[in-house]
Amino acid sequence: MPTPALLLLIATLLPLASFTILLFIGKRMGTPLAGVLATLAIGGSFVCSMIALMVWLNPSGQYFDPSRQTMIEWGANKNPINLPYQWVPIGPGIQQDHPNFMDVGIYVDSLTIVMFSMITLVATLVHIFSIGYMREDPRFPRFFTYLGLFCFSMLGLVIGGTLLQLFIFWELVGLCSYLLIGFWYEKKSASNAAIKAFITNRVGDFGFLIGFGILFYHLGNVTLPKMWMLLGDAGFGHDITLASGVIFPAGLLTVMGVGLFFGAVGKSAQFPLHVWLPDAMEGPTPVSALIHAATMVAAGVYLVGRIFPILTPGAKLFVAITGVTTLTMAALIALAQTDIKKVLAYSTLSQLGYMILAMGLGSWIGGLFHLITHAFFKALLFLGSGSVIHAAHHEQELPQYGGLIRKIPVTGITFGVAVLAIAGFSIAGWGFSGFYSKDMILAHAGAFGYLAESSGKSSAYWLFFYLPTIIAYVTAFYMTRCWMLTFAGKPRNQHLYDHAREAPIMWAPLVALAVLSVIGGKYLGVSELLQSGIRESTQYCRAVVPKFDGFGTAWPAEATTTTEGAEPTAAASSDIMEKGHELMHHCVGWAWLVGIGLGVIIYWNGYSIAGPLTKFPPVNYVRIWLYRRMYFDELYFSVFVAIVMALSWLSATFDKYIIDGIVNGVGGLVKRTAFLAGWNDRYVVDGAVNGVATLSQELGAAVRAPQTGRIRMYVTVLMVAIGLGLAGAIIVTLSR
Amino acid sequence: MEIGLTHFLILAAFLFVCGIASIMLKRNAIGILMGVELILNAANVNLVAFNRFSYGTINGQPVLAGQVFAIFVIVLAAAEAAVALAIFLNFYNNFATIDVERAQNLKG
Amino acid sequence: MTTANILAIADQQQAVAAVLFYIFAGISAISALGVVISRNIVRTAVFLLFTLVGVAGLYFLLNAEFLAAVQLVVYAGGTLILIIFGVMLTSKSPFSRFEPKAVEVVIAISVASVIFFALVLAITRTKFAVNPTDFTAYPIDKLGQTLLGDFLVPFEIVSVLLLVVMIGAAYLAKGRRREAD
Repeated sequence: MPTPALLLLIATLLPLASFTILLFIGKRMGTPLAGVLATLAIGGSFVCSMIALMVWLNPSGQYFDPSRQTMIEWGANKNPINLPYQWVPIGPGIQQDHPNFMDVGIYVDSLTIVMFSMITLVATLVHIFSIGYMREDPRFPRFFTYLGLFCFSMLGLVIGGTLLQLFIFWELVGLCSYLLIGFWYEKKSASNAAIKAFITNRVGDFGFLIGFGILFYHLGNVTLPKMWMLLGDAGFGHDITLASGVIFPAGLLTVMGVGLFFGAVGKSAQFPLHVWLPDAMEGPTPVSALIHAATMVAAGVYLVGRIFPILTPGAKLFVAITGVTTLTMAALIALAQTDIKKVLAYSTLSQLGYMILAMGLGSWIGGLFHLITHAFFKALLFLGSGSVIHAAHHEQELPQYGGLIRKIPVTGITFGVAVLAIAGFSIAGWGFSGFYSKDMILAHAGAFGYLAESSGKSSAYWLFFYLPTIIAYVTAFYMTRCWMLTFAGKPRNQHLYDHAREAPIMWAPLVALAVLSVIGGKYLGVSELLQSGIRESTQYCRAVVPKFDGFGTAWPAEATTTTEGAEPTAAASSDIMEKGHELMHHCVGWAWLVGIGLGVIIYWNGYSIAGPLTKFPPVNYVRIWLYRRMYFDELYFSVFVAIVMALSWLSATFDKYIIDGIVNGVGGLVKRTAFLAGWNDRYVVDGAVNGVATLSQELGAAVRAPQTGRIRMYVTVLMVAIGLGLAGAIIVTLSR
Repeated sequence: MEIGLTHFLILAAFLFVCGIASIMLKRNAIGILMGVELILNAANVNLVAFNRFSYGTINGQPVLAGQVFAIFVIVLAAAEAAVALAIFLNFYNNFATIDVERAQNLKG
Repeated sequence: MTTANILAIADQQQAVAAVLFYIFAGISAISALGVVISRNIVRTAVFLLFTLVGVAGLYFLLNAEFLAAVQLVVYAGGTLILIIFGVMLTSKSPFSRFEPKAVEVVIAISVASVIFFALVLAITRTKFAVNPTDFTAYPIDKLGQTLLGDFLVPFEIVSVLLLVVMIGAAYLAKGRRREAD
């Protein structure tokens, strides 16, 4: 096995080992030791991933590709490592007459390596942070047991070479999310939130299964590159004729893409399945940082990245609409939330919306780049809020905070760095990590707008650019609001303020993540590596399908200008990209300054300006509407409950008037008839019946004797009878 | 001598009579249940053996009806065991014994 | 390879099959006898287990690999565990004995031998059709197709039956609630 694949496999299995050990002897290991073991395991994974990254960047090896029967070179900008393994034979599919296999496999390309590095890094830091944060919890070892399982599942999801594997680990991370949201299951709200998350995700997974079923019916369970090769033309939106002559209609392809995407909608908490993520904040804060900000919720975006080449224009449009709806809605709701973790949760939703939007617009790199940078600063924000909550003795309401920068300075400063990163802080073309990734998305959105315009689409397509642009301002504002209300101004709860204190073990992760949030955009080479990921996959596929351009098929397809041999780009031709970038630069160049400035001015002294401002009627109502999260929970509750209630009322009415009416009518009729029949009965029938009864009694007494009630006697009698019969048969047979 | 259909049938016959003897001899209800399982197994061996040796192919295609029936029998045996054990548990709760000789409430 | 060689190999394979048959048949038959003779219900269960395993081996010889696996998993693994649970739940001491009467033993043995004799007679005297299966294609795949093709309706009915049994067994086995509550 090539070195990087082996290293990543080890990295995947280390958390599983820690999970297994902790599962059995975790309780005996006790409070600090269990955490240390888990941290060492995930730290080992991180080291493995880093070595794999080094090896990947300086590739020097070849491997035997079983699907192509030749040796090929692996490494950045060369070829991915694709190692399928035939697992369960399941009989011939519709297009082959040889047996089909439920394949499993390993697929490693630059995206895998990037995801591994990000996941193990954030997970390691969160593990360290948790040792401090969960120290007083009686179920400390169990917490790290779950974390180990989660890390294993998440890494398995990323390394998996087929959609089937992806789905298996997809469910596993869902399970871990459920376990960890409900970690404090004594709290009713926590266990409810866990159930809600689980159920909501099932809705999405159902869509995924439908999509996977359609794919499976046509292709069987194939490795990712094979899937791309076979359906790489999906981006052009016409029917695809498979090698066997079976036609895969474009409409069905769209349904498949949307179905698969629905899995991502559930996991990445996109509209309309977003309701579980804010509630998931009931879990411990490190969990929110790791699972519900940095890694698991990003798995949806990762999935879209993997199925990107097989999405039709229609499916991509659906993806983009979902993304833009989510990012707008979530950012507006985040404006009015008062719970610090809820603000961050909605901000996560909004950022995920950006990534999904990018995917829908064809900006593969933009979406995944933002995934990585977002993981850094959002994990930092959550860990920072964890530190605040820890210092404030589990008080999470912003109105109770204020002025905390003087008490917990490290948290305050690192949190501030994260706020700058998410707001897109930049000066003279240099900025924090969020600046680069968000700019890339918006630039591609602008290019997309021009593309739609030039191909004569409705001007409504410009919404895909202008809504995210406006929200970029809003993002800077609500994040600043969150920071100002927490750290600046006068303390609003003196008691809480007096007792606030930082725990030093939590500093290291905060500082490390702060550094990453600053440099993650430009200096880590993430976007270059992602670019090389596209190149590798395309190159690998082109060796078989020379015209493959799955990663270059931006929407709308007819305007795509990529040609064979040209560098595959996320969007279309370079001059449109140029125009898009310019437009973006004009529109959001100073968004961070406007948003942050406005936030600082309004919340300079706690609620003294914002408080009165939101008292006036129109603002007032909007604030309440947003504070109640646009009434989505109430809507879902009332709609589903109302349906059930209406149905039960309907059936009750039916019962009461129609069924009961029939029954009563029949009853009355019977009563009248019975009176007449009674007379007849008493004198005519009874005489006959009594005679028969006497006869039966006599017979019964005779038959009663053998009815001993002893079952074995019955069996014996039966068998003796059969035996006698057979004995007769034997005698007859032998005597002939 | 080549192993053929007859060998399997005779073995099945033996299992069958063992099952019958079990049913007749055991006073423990669960023992009776085991006898029934033996009988079902004998039937299964017959089904599969016949399928293998004398009902194997039609028009050059292998026929697997016997095996499918054997699967059904296994499923039904499992179902039967579940229900029978539930009944035995009830019986045990009511009579505080598992001896079938004590179950005489149906005596006429 | 010469014809003699091929014949020798075929002979060898037949000999192996015969040996295996006698091993598995011996295990099943002796354990089945143990089921009848054993007085201890736990020991009976263990004998039954060996019978089932022996029969599974016979299925392998009959080219019914999937069925053998099912036999091991469902029967030996599932049903027998169920029975052992029954034993544990219903006997105060696991070694409770209920001896049959001597006359019952005599009747049982004679009836059983008569039936066995009759069956052997019938088997040896009947000419069965010879139409062996040639397992060269994918038998498991074919089995699945048969199960979900020709036998789809019985398959569905069995699944409904299983559901009914599950509910019924759960209802029957549930502990008695006090009526007063």
